[in-house]
Amino acid sequence: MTLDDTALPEDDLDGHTMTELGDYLDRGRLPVDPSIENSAACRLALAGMTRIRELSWTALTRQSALDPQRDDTWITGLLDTIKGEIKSGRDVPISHSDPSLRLSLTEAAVRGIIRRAGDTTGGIVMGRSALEGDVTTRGAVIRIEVTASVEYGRSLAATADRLRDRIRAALDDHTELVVGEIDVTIDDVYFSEEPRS
Amino acid sequence: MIDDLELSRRLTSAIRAVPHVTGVYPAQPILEAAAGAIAVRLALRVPDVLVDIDRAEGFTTVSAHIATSAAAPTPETARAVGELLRDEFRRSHEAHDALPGTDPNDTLAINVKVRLVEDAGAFGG
Repeated sequence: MTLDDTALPEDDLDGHTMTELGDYLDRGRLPVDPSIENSAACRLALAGMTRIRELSWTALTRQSALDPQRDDTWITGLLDTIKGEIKSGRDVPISHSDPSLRLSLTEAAVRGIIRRAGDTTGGIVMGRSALEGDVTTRGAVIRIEVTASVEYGRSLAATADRLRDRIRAALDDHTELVVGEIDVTIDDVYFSEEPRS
Repeated sequence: MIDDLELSRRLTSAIRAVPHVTGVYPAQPILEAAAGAIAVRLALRVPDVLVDIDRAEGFTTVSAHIATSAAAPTPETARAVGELLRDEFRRSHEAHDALPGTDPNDTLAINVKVRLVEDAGAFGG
């Protein structure tokens, strides 16, 4: 995986760069680098990068042949999005009957849950996600905004509905957020191995 | 008597044994964590002291940052870790003499922060 970013370490990646992480993935995460594997931010980025690779390899290969410049822009945009999502952000509380226990998820972890839910939906490559509202107050209703690229030939409305359901179920499983609307914007279409008729 | 370094080591190890915990990350303030990360990178230190124990003016805060597996609901895993830290910390005070300058009756706060929810079966840490 080649990335067009600076070679300077980034604060949010615990001293690593996206290029280093891409190279590390290329090597099959071997030899194990403890400074990467023991960094939550690096592992969050690796998870997103791995799913991009697994999900869209065929699409990337095809689109590369059709329009290499567009492919570069697309993949660079996705990686920039992942890089932006690893900032810890706000703390999302988890309740406990003992007030001495203060439990929370980071906003980055929640964005990771949303990304995984979308990327495992099928026919979708997730773009950006945002949590709108007061996620730090238990019981407050929040709104989710996501963008996604959809495989050519799929019904946009049905795919968006399926994505909403997946995200809502994942957030119900792994957070105590009260999710109101989930706004899905389909901002791109990609081709699978063979275009659907 | 055990010191806070040894207690942190024990708590770190105990958290790793909690089902569906896939990683433990440094919970120290950023500068200490940065120094620790450099030490790890230079292979000077094994990352086994990752739970932060802060004692100040009658208040003790125990903090842990973790990764969990998506195979189980994250709130359940976070609660299990929080309860483990609370119980182990209290047990350590009962089993050992209190450290000089510390009081076992200090107000205790346990902070558990989930920084990553990983795919079930993802690479372990």
